[in-house]
Amino acid sequence: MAGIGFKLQKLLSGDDYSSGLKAFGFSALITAGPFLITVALIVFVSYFSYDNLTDRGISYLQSLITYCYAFSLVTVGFSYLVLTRYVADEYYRGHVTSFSASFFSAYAINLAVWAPLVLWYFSGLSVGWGMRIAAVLLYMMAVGMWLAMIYLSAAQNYWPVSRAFLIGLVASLPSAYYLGLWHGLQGYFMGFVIGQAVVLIALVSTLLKEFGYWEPQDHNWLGYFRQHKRLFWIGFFFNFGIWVDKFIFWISPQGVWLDPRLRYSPIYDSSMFIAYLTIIPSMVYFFLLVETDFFFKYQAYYAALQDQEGLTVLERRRIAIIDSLRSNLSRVFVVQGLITLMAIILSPWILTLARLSPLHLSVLRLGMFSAFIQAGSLIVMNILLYFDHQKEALHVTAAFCVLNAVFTEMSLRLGLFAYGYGFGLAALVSFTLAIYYLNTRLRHLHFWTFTRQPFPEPVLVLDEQDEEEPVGEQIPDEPEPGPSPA
Amino acid sequence: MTDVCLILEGTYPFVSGGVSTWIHQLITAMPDVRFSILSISPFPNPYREYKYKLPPNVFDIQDIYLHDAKNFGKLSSPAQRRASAEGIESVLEALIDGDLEAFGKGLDFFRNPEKGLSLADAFESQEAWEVLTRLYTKYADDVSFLDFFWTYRSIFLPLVNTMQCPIPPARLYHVVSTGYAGLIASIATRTQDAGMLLTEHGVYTHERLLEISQATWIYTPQKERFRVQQELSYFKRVWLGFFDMLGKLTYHNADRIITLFEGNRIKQISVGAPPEKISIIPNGIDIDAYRALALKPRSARKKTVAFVGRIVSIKDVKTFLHAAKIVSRNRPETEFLLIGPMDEEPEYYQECRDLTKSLGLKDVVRYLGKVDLMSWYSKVDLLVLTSLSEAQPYVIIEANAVGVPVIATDVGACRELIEGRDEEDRTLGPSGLLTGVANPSETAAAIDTLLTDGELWNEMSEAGRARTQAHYDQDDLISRYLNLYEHMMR
Repeated sequence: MAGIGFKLQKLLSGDDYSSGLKAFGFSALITAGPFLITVALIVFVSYFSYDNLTDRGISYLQSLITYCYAFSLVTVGFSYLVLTRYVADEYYRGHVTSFSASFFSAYAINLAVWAPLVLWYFSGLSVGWGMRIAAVLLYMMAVGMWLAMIYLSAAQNYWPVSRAFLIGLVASLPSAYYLGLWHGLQGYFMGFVIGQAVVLIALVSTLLKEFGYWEPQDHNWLGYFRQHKRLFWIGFFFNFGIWVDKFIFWISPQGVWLDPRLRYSPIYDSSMFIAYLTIIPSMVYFFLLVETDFFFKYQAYYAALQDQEGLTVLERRRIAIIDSLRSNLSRVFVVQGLITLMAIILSPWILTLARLSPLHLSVLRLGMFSAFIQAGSLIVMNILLYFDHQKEALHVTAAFCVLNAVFTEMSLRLGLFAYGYGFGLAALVSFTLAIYYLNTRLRHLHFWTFTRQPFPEPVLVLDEQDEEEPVGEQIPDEPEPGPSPA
Repeated sequence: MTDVCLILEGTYPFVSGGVSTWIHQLITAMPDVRFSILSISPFPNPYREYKYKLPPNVFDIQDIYLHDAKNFGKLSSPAQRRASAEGIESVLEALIDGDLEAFGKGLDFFRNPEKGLSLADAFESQEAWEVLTRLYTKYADDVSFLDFFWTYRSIFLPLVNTMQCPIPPARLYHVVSTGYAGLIASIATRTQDAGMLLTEHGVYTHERLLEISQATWIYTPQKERFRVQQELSYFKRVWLGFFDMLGKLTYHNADRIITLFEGNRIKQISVGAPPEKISIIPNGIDIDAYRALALKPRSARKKTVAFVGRIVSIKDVKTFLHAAKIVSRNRPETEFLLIGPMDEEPEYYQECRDLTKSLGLKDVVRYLGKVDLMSWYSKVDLLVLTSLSEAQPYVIIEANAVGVPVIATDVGACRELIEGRDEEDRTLGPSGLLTGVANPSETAAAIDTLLTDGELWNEMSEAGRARTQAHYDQDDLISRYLNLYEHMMR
């Protein structure tokens, strides 16, 4: 009949709700691996190397390794979550054949952008070119490790990852010992670098074995920078935020020159590292709980959506998510609370064990407490990312980063008794913010899940009919505007 | 300020077709009336082109895009959002309960600049979400929430866009369908203090009913899909209810309703149009051009019967072929022409060709394809339509104007075109014969009667010429519109 009327659009499309965001959770955990190796090495070196390494030498070693890791974490931070998201989405879409290619793309691009800067920085060290190059190599290996672990954790292949670190530890201790015996400081550092190289090689070979090398190149992950600008900033604030208080301490009058490009803060650094060690249990525990319980509840919610269930089912699934989170988080809280409490009580003993002076006691205790809060904030932020609340995660990480800088600066001016409060206070505020967001977002989970769906752009189908046509034509099935539901 | 604002949905001047041609005629025939056009399309289309050359008395074309979600705007204050959400919800409920006057109250929430409801308010606010879930709990018996959500968005995005659409000032709003166009016209007549005229060539609500009941994109639960359906799925009912509501609202707000023929008037009444508002103005043709054509001489021994229409299943060409078979038993010399494009349903066309062959009609049946009809009216004795469904077919008017009697199935406006619309019209006598749908023997008998009975043929030919001149002259019909315009412009 008359040329009136549009064909009604196919607007009913379920978007890809649950692209396996699980990998985010792992990101918090994986930093623990290299961290533990470093600590093991430092402890090992400080016990076994007294004849040819001074206290200053040990500090030098520790600082240089710290610098390498700090640089690698902060610079990789820019692309870390973006790449994680890309890998998770690709994994969800079942496209893993280009993983090796995109890993090398990400690695090459990260190195191309940052390695020259790092090289310039380390070229100012007073040691020889051997050490300088080795420091840059350590930085490059660390970057490779972070990136490789994104891919391996997407495949949930945790055993090869752990094995790689174990092999690396096994390789670095004897090589550091023997090289150190002959070459002193340089030897110890080289030994450590060799250990890290072993880790990187093990990780990359696992990656290649797991996914093969099927496609020559894949730079598609770069497109995610445009789609997920927020992840870029979250990644940056997250990693920079963790380091900013250390940077400020290094720059401050509290800092001590070890070398023209190497400053460290004797009072702050060691205490903080020990403090961070105490939260590793809660990270692992949280990760295990997520694996075994929460993630199934989370998936069940989105599965109910896709299965076109009614609101009563969705509401039931939402409550299951909340119940799961509530019990899991409180378990983590209790376990970590006990550990932290024990650690605080035992801190004088820990200090002697680590051969630190009693001056560190208050900073250490505060650091332990702050790390406890920081762990909570980290966990909650990861949950926010699970639900793709990027805006909220950005607020939390940006608040932490900025407040950590501001409060740390203030604590420095107040004097020794206040050291550590800056970090703790920043963690407390961001934790409160994160909990507030998680609470409201989960209370209105349906609202946030649905309302954030973009309006699909309809395909143009103006229909052209003329007078002689019958009333009511069969409408052809229009192609869907958005990505089709899996 | 123009005289008449035409509110058009997916048609003139960007889409060609029957309605568009009619609109073009209307505008061209009234050079003294200043027109503006409000054109509704789903969303901006950079590739669209004008299918008609705009007459100089069209002063303005304004677009509205139904599915345009580009400018989301900012969230209003929470208090305002709450007030709007509650107000709109109560208006919706009143409308669902059948209180069409509630529409007037609803207008304020969308059109009052101080309240300024943005798309963000409507689709991103907690308040709007609460309205959605309340509607779900109240009306939707726990159906798929995902589909409910998308249905809600697909209905409300165009709705919010139309409710906020700026209306060009005019003295009369002439709308050519119900639906979204009808909604805008209703807004116009209530906000601009101007009259509203509705012309429907088809019946929009009815067309949507057929379209939606066949639609495959609307979610129907698995378990219902394989069962013989007593009633439509929930989401189909929602869509139908929505368009039904738009139809009722348009009929309610229109001052006058014009339809093409009696059959549509009855359909309109059945979907809620008040009978007292409806009048019939049929489509007309350029009578003089057709009257000037010469008739085929009656003395010619070889008779020619023509089927005019696209070769598609709805035209039921096969019935015509079967009738031709029956006729050619007694009159082997009779020629049968099929005039009309054959490329629209190639499969059906092939079936017709095969049938022609198996009926042994190959020598007497000719497929002419798309030709200039004007030149063929002088070469045929009879015109036959076997359609299963029709609106108001132009060919009957044209053939009658020339003086060729018509045999048609009793569908759409065929009866009133052939026998006359009212008492006075009927005194002119029939201009052809009506047959049942899919009834080859009845069609054959009618063909035989008219080919045999020369006197009847002459009477019918005369009746057709008289009727078309009296009632289907394009100029007369346009001047009726001009009269209507003059009466209704404020």
